[in-house]
Amino acid sequence: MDKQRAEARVVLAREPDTELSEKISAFLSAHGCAGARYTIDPDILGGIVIYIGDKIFDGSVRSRLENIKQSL
Amino acid sequence: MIDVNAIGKDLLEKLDSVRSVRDERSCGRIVYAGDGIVRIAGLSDVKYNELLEIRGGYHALALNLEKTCVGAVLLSGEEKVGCGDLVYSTGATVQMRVGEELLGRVVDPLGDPLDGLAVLTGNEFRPVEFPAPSIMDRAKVNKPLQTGILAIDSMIPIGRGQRELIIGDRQTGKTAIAVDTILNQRGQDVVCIYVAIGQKASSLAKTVNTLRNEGAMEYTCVVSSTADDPVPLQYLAPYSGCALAEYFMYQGKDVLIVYDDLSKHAVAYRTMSLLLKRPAGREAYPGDVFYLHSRLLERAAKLSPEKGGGSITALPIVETLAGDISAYIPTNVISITDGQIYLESELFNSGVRPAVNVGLSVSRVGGSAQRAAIRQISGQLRVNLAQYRELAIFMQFGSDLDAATAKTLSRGAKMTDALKQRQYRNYSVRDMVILLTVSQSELVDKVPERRMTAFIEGLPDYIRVNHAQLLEELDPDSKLTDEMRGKILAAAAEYVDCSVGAAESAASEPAAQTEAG
Repeated sequence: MDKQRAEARVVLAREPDTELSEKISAFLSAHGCAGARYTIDPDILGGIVIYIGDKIFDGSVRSRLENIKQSL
Repeated sequence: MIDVNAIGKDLLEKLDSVRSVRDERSCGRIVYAGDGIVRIAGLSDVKYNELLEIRGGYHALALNLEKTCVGAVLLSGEEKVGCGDLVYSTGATVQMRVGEELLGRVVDPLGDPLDGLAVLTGNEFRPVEFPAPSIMDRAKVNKPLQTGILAIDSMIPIGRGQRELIIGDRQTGKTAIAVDTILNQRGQDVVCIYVAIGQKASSLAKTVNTLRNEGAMEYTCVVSSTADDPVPLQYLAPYSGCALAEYFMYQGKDVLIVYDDLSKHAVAYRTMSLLLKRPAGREAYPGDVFYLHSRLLERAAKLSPEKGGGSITALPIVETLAGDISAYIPTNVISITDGQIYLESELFNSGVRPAVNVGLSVSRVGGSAQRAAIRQISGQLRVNLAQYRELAIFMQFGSDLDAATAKTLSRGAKMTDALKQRQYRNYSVRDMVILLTVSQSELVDKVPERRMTAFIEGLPDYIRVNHAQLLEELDPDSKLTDEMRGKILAAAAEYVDCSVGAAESAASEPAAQTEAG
């Protein structure tokens, strides 16, 4: 897959405010994304998950809690 | 009192050490799951043999890298993962926990304890797959590894750093030889690792109990994968055991590792390969089944003094079907190893235990590591036994034997008896020198054939009690002098007189039996 033109998928726990939206756009353009599809998923509890191609940037509260659970 | 602050501090440290999840990772989704195999779409930059993490804390091993998907085998969570589950690459290969604390423990192929004892706290790990020592890092095998079994240490000597195959049908005492060898390493400064691959849990429990009861667990670690463990774990078990062995070897220690057994390992690998849809070859094994075992056994080595001088001695076990050593896996492993101990059911059932077929067993490098005294007195043993067996077969139907033939046959039968040895009854090197000297001397003519086994079993104890001085004088590392030989025979003659009744020793012996023919 051509990563330069990949569409990103952004998962958030709730609707982003303006400041967050700007940050996300900056992050996405830094990674060469053409556009983004936003999904709201309360299951991630908080934070943000961004998929670009088959790369994942997982900053969700859920995965952090899972990590802590596994390492304890 | 529990110190709340200390626990709090530990917890905070632990939380700090939890990996930040914000970094970029490659991910994919499971598109097929079944039979312990998953196929994953995505994961474009995953590497061969990489450990994959599946959401929920399960793990898989990437083995097939294809254009559109990745084939992986599940190490855990076979019933839990399903299509659509997210899979992450970890950038790491499978690691085995290592450390001194594993001695005395029973662990799974990832180093997690299975014996319900204390939690392992060490943080040292070694990759399960590791390159074998290079040619320049190796030294010649020059130190013996005593099995304590007379037939093996005299005729098929094993050196530290050697790979000696134990091969035979089921129920011929393969594991018994390996276990006896482990028991004999007590006080020899050898770390032992017993790897069970695809074994019945009941047999493994028996082996562990034996090791524990005989006090061998102090210096032994058991890496266990039983028949009900996931196939990938059975596949990993010998490599994990070897990683642990390498940990000790690179510290300059001598290690003995037993792989019990590699035929089941090959079957586990065949299962994985067929499910991964790799092409099947002879006996449906995949094309790389030779490499599967050669890369494992190449890791056994004697290191050069510059590298610490440690060693790994490998005793792989292979089970044959109906004595067929020309099957695929047996021939492969025979050609990889430095010799084989061939056990036969026929010998076993006729009472020759250990049931070593001396004719087909060889040790290609151990001879140079043999103790001088033993090498000297066992030099003729193999030839004599071979001659006896030939004669015994030839004379099977003959009734009239001349005196010389009868004597050769009787001596041969007694020699065979002398090599019989009960399980867990290991001989020390000095005992062996005495037994080999006596059993090849004319002294045995005075012992009736049916008393020979008892005579041999009792002799070491008699010498220990009544001739302790003799044992001290005996130096196994130098050649046996005529004077020493005379002393040994004189002591043994005393034992003949007191153990064999006068009436019995006077009675002429009946024609030799051809028991072992």
